[in-house]
Amino acid sequence: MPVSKSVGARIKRREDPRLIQGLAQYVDDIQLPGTLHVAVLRSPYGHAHVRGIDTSAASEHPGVVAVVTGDDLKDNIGAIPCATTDPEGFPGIQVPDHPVLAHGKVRFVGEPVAAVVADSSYAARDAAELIEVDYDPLDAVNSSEAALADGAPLLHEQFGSNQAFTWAIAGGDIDDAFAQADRVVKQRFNHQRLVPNPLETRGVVAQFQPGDGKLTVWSSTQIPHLLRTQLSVILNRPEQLVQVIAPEVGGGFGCKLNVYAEEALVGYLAIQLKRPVKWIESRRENFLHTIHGRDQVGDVEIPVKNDGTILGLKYTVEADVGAYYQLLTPAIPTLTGLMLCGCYRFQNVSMELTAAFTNKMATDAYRGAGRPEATYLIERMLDCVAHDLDMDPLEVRRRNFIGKDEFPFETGTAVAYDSGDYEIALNKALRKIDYEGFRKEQADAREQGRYLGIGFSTYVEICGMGPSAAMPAGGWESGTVRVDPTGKVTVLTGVSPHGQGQETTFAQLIADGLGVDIDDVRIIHGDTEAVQYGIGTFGSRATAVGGTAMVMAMEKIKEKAVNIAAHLLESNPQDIVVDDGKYGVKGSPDQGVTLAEISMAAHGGVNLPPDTEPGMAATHFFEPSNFTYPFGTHIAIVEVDADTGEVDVLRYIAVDDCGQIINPLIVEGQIHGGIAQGLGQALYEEAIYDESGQMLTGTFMDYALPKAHNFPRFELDNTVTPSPVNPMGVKGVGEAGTIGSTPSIVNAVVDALKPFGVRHIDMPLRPEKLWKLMQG
Amino acid sequence: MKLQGTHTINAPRQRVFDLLTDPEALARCIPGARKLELVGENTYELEINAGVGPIRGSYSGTIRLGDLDPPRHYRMVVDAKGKTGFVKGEGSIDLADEDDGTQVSYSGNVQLGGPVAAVGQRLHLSVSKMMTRQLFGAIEAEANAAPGESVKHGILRDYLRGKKPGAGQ
Amino acid sequence: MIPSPFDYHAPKTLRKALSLLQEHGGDAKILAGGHSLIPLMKLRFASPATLIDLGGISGLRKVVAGNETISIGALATHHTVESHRLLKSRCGLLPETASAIGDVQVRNRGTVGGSLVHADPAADWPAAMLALNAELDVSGPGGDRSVAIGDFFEDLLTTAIGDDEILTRIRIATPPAGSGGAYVKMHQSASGFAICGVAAQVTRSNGACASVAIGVTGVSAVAYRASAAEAALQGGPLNAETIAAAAEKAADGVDDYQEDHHASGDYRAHLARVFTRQALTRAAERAA
Repeated sequence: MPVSKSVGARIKRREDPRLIQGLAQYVDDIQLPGTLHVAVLRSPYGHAHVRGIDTSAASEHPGVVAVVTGDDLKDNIGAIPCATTDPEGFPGIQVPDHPVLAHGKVRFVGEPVAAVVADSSYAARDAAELIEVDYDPLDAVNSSEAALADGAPLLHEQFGSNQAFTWAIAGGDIDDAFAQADRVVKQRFNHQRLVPNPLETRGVVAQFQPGDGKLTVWSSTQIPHLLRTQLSVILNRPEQLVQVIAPEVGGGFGCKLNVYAEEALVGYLAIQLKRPVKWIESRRENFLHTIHGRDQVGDVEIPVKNDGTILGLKYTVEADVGAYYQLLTPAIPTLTGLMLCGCYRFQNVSMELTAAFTNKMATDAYRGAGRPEATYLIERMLDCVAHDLDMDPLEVRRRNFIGKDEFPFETGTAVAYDSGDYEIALNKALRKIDYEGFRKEQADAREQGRYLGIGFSTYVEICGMGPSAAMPAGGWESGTVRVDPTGKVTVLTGVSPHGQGQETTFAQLIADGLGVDIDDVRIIHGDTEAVQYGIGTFGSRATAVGGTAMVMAMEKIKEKAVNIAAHLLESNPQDIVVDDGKYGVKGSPDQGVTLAEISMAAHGGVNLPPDTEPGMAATHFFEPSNFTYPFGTHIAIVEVDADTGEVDVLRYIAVDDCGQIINPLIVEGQIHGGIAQGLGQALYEEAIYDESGQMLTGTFMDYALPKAHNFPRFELDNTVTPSPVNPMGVKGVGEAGTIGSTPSIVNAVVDALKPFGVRHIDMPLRPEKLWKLMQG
Repeated sequence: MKLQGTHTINAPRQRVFDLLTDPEALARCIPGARKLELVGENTYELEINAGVGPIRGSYSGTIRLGDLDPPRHYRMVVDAKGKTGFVKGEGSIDLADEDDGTQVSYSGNVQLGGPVAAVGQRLHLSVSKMMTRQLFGAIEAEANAAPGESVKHGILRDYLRGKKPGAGQ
Repeated sequence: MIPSPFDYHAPKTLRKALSLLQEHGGDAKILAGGHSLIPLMKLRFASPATLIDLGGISGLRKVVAGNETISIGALATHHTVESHRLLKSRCGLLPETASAIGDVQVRNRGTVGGSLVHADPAADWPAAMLALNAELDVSGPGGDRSVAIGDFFEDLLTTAIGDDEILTRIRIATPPAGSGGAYVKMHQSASGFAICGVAAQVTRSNGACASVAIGVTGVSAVAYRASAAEAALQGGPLNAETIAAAAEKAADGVDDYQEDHHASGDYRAHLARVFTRQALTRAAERAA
């Protein structure tokens, strides 16, 4: 394959051979001599005073080196950080202390209470069972409604209520929109709580070198640099003496975009004990004490004209954020607010959010992070509008779409959509089905007592996270490109891929840009000692922002390479062309030099153009001017079993536009996984806590992840509308599938059950729920 | 979790009431009980090795009886914890004469916590009912034992054999 | 996985396994495929002091589909049953049930005997074995005995097998010509266990129902025979109307439902009726 055709090619992921052969090195594969193992004792209560902790039996257990409790830590270690607590952004925000180990009180099941360090993970776990904690149980609250009710038990008594913060956004004049409306369409929506469930649970290894005072922390994280900064603060260590390494990371979906108690705890213990310390999260701990997603419940009102024109949207919502804040907890629902207008032209919008503390794990970023909520409610509302006005759901959408000539388009929520053509994606998706034919088939089937349904989701989302002004901790990214004397290329990127395949896509960009073979390019990420500070991988930003930083660094290298080539070939830089791996003079391609020859000269430092620095390395910091806004149309066709209520997804069509595509295979993989997770929310997943704060869905026996056999073969296609925000024209595709898919399934099921007078069903669409609706 | 039901015990009401509130009898009849000791007025310390099939756990805690109105009614509060979680329960027990013995009606709330609460929710009610059945079965056997005869509660198996649901009886 | 400490034994003979079991008594657990026990040990809900692994004992995995008797070694995997050619023709209900269990990985390791002895009331095998009137061969210190499947499930996760006994084999009378079976199930979306599973075996004779047996799992705290539904069909005509009428009785007498957020007791009872109708219909077609 000619190297210049790398971008756009369906190249298999270079990461996969090591992953599928078991040769990748995850945190648990880090085996340092003399390592001690940590078991964390966690609260079995949703809410309780801790009257005392007796660690004596545990301390005496064979193999135990140390037992620590909240009292041991509270004066020696800082709190778990939250980056988004500015009262200007979040009026009335209450910021609770979030200790690494609870002291005085526990506020959710799974909250760390004590830790045992032992010479084996078995001894640690056995000893943890010997710790006696004297709990005095308190009443708990398991929903925002319960938390905000009069007389509710208080999680943080000092605040006087369980209200955590409020947030509001408004654009246009929503009151006027209601005044102008022919009618108001209303619906209440529940976005149930979800558990991210990456394949690899979290894990931390820490090693302290007393000689130079350096702490090295290996963590399964999406943000090694941000974690390094936070750890240096929590542990009160100089940042230059803290190194964070994200080795192979087996998925994150946002839940590893965080700073957790165990990261601080293990770092602290390694410093105290001067031995390597390891903690590997069990799946059960992951359910209880790794962040959850969604958990909003709210009312939507849409003023409309009788012709289907939407005049505005009002969303009054409560967010159940759990007991404490994690890194970005308050910021997540604000992304819902930004994207409330969807693909539609209306400018009058209002969202009023009240967030409540509850006796649950904190919510935070889970694939889509706030945008699935927005897309779900606007796309469901469009169908409710169609239902109430007796219109076709597509007609309502087309009537309200932003036109392709209106970009950049500023929404009522004051975000500027970069580019788009919503109608063309919809039309392309429709060409894969026979809509009229389906409606006939549906009518015939209903005659026979069979219930088919079709659901549409015409979504737009916000990603490519930057610019910095709109981000809590920087929205830029860094990239470094180095060429070795032999012409091999090493790229150091500030993003931290953990399943997205950037070791492949970034190498494709470099191979094409520098005219080298893709196998000559190595992508390094995740080690703060190797890589220049960066922000990390989340919000579908790695390629749009990190890729751009890398490409810009590469452009600097390329310019230098061209200058040196011109010098070596005794020509002018403007006459140098790169073709088939050679830097040659226009018109005489045989005379070219390779990147290796150029780099050898650069490293030799002798035969260089005047005023040229030796070496071949460049770094670039890229600050994007705007977010990017991918979009698309998803169509689901389902059948609901009249006898049982089971949903069979018969067809799933997705036409997505993520701007320019570097590797279609990887884009499709992201869409596949995204759809699976979106369908998981629609049909199966729900984290349930009972009234006392017990999580009833704490294992895979009861928390239902979607499985391959639940789905038909996805029928994918795309349109390409380049983004003007970055030179590559890319947008991002990590979350689009999750954001776009959920409402298409729910819309399809609601459509199927229309003969039963059904207008809305809350997720997940369990068979029993549907069966009951069919009983009238 | 609401736990509610009735159970007929083939024995006179006073005898059933006495057994149900007699710590020594309860110690013998509560499935898996290892220890039941009076530690205060109507308050007993309990140690139990509870289990269903391969699932086993040691629990310790207290049982408190209240509102004693012999031989008609009393309330019971249970609070026990172990390595795999905790159990809190509160309920009332009412006794009434019935043709072939005494009808015991129970009604209360049981709250599970910790790991045990997070697993196998579908079985929680069934496990509670199973243990209740075992308790009342054992009480019946005690009630009908000849004076001085020690009851072997292995007969539980035989008792349960005759009580399979759905057998179209 | 970090279980409590345990001793591990891998006896090579059944006799050795039995003597180990006697030696360790109630502190020991038998390990077959491990698909029920190991997850419990991982959660420390089960902390047996001793594991006796039957995996090294030869002769317990064999499946023989004879003209008169079908014999399934207790350690036969679900996959072995699922993929057994002769079984497909001689007793299709068995492979059909096997194929509804878990996923490929589970079927490759989980065993028929292990599942029966664990007696999860939402497992699939209890339904099929009830519908086939299986006989279970058990070895103990006092010798061998057989237990009829109808006497086997005593309560939730509780069977007629003694602490010192080992299930060795499941025997089933090979269904005669004119007999057909079917298993219909709704998978619980997380675990894959049955929210409801109904196995039916029907034998026709001159258009009438010569015999019928229906096993139901997932509904009650113990898998059961839908006796009332069977009685309604037994000896009478076999057609859509009689099947529908009989199926209405599929949950009669159940008073101890499994219930959770996946499915209420009422819904499980409804599914028992629906799936009994479907399983009987399919079984009757296959019996033709």
